[in-house]
Amino acid sequence: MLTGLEDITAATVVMIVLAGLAAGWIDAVVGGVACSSCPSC
Amino acid sequence: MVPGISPVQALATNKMGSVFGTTTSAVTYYRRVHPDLRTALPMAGVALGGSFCGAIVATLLPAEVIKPVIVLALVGVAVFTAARPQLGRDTGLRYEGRRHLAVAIVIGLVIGFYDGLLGPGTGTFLVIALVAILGYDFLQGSAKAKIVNLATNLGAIAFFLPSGHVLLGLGLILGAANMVGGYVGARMAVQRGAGFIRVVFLIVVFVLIARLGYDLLLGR
Repeated sequence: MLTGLEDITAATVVMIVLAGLAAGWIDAVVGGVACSSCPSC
Repeated sequence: MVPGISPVQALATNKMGSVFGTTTSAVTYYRRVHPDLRTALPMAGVALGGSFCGAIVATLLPAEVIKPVIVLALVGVAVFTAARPQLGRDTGLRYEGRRHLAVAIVIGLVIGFYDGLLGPGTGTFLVIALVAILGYDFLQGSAKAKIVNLATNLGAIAFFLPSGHVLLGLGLILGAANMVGGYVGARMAVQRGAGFIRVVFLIVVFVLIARLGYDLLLGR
């Protein structure tokens, strides 16, 4: 099973963590901008 | 950012992270704000059903046609909110009893359907509907929106997880980061109150308008 971690660098992991922190924060405060139907979110 | 990942895998993995974050913020809000579950749970139930129906209709409609409508609606929300500094400062419910519940259910259904159909700004539209139509302050609006978001996220992940699109390792990292962000965000919102949420709300709406507008200009 693919975990998504096979080919990524430490810098990418850091970027993903920062994006996750920001998304979680915005989502918690105002409902966020993410959606379930557009892949670009 | 991740090489070789398909759009569906990105969406599914992102959704897994969101489930962790939304669960954390929903629990944090619930423990500190005590949102009225008699309103939030029926809304969450119909939003889940609406989201499912919207996703089915989404396969029939070209999103490019509706994108300008979303941007216009967001501009309307921004102007409406910015022009009313007192909006959502305090809770003053506009309906009572069954009428309140009926309006809440209609909102849940419409927003859920929109989430499944298109998606961008779903949380924003949900919060403004709770504030402007039902009369909650921004803090109570956000707290209820979290419970509705949790339901629609769980619905999406219930589809994506068995289908094998979720990249578990990446999803767990994203989920952990989302949990921390969600916990900090919910605590800040509770501590600083409706005025703080209103300001962040307006910033998020403007960023969303800019981003969707930019996509429109580039024809994406």
